[in-house]
Amino acid sequence: MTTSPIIVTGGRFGLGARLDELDAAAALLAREAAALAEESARLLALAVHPALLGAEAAATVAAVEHGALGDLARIVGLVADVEQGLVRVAGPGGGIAESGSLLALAGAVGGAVAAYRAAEAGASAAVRTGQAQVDLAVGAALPVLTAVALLAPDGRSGASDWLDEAVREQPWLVDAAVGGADELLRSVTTGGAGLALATTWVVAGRPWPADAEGALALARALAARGGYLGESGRPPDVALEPARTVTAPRGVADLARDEVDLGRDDDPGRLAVVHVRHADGSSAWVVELPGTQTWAPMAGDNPFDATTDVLAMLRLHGDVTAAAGTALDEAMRRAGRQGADDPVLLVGHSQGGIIAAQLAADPEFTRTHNVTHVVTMGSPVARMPLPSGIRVLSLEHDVDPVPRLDGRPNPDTASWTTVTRDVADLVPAATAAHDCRLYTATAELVDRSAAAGTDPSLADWAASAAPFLGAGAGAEVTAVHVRRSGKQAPAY
Amino acid sequence: MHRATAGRVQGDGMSTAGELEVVAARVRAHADRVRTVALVVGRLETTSWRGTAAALFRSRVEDRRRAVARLAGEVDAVAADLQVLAATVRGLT
Repeated sequence: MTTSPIIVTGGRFGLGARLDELDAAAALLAREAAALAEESARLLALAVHPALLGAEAAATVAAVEHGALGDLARIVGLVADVEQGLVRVAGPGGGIAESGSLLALAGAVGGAVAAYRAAEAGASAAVRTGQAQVDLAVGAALPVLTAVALLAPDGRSGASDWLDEAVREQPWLVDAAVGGADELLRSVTTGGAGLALATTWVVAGRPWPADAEGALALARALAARGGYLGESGRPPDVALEPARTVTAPRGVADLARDEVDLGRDDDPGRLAVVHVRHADGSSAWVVELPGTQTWAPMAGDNPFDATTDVLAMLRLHGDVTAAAGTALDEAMRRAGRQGADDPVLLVGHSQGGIIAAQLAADPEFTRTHNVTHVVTMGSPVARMPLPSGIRVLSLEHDVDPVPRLDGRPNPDTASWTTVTRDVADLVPAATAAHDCRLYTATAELVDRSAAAGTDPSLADWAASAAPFLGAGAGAEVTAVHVRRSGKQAPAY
Repeated sequence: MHRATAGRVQGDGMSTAGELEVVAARVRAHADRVRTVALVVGRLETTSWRGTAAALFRSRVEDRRRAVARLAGEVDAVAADLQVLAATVRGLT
């Protein structure tokens, strides 16, 4: 027996969806119980129907008049059979009893769902309680360990190599570090560290953050005072090349290959819009967003940078979200599909996945764009409030630290399918697990599993994404160059 | 007089039998819907530790489905008796 190299959670056939289904099933049983009780009441009413009650008397008169006493006996017997039958099917041994049994079963099923959920939540809470202590320790220790690694005179390139290998061996360190930030912030607050509170209040004019996300917002506010991690607020320059005919994407792996292309060092600052045309005249659109291309803390001309990372994690709009909307609108206008309500799939690797999820979670964007699908690869998107009507597929490598930066697993819901792959033996260090080419290989596994029907949630997702990834469609791709307005590349 | 009464018994009897058949069909539909619950519960059986409890519930749901289906059959039987009764009364008149 061979084990699958990928693990699928969530989706239409995931545990969360099944418990939701079971909840609905319990409600259905209760409704059936009520309906059966009503049917029983009707049957009992028939048992005392005047025609039935009059049948015996009428038959007696007729039988005497015609001298057919044998028939009379038969009629009396039949009337008795019918009356007893009605009482039997409607009464305490029939429909009424069955209604009660169904109601009891509805309660039991509902209780079981609650117990399942409580068990899951209890297990999670137990893990969280223990993890909080670990998180606090790791969160506090990591800066020290990093400093030691930086200073270690062992000839290595320093902290980054040390951390890279450590995270590959122990990927939970990232979870603990993110969770540790939460715990540290909480412990400082509850411990009454007045100096820290006063400092942040005076320096940033903000209250002490409650969690890692709040800390990120505070860090950005502080960085903005030094001119870092900020944008001008002017619209970005968005230049669309003429559309060119390409082979339509046939699976998630094709989307991943496009992501690899967008990440090329020799042509940075691009996103792409793919127009998928079907023989019946319908269209679908794929917006492909690249990962982070520069880590400079000062916003430069290439907006796919650390500034956008921070903005996206805080769900704040910036040049990249603006450019994605502008590019899609312009591509649709050029194709004569403006206002056609065509379905849209947003896909991205790393930062691109965060932006994709951010746009899909933005009511303003979805009001004017019919976003139906999102694909993320190596992106920390678990905290994104994605609407349940949007089908999400997230690919994550277990030792890739980036998708762990949100500090929690993706929601297990019917609309969100997460594929996790163990790649620890395939990479020398954790950062290599984030490579988009490795995600392409994982996407090939996903396509194969979906095609073979190995996992029902994946097969279901693939079927839902047929307008974007179906065979036999024509396609055109528009390369879109994005630059920040009035920005020069910093000298890093 | 008796002819009119017998006619009413026959007419009402037939319509009541028809009504019972409708009730039987509805009860049979209840059984079919209970079957969907059994299917939903059955899906949980494929998941590790949850499977044991799910199997137990599925068995209970199947029992109920069979009981409701049996009830539908019994209502049908009463309807058939009522039709015979109506026909017999008609034969007398």
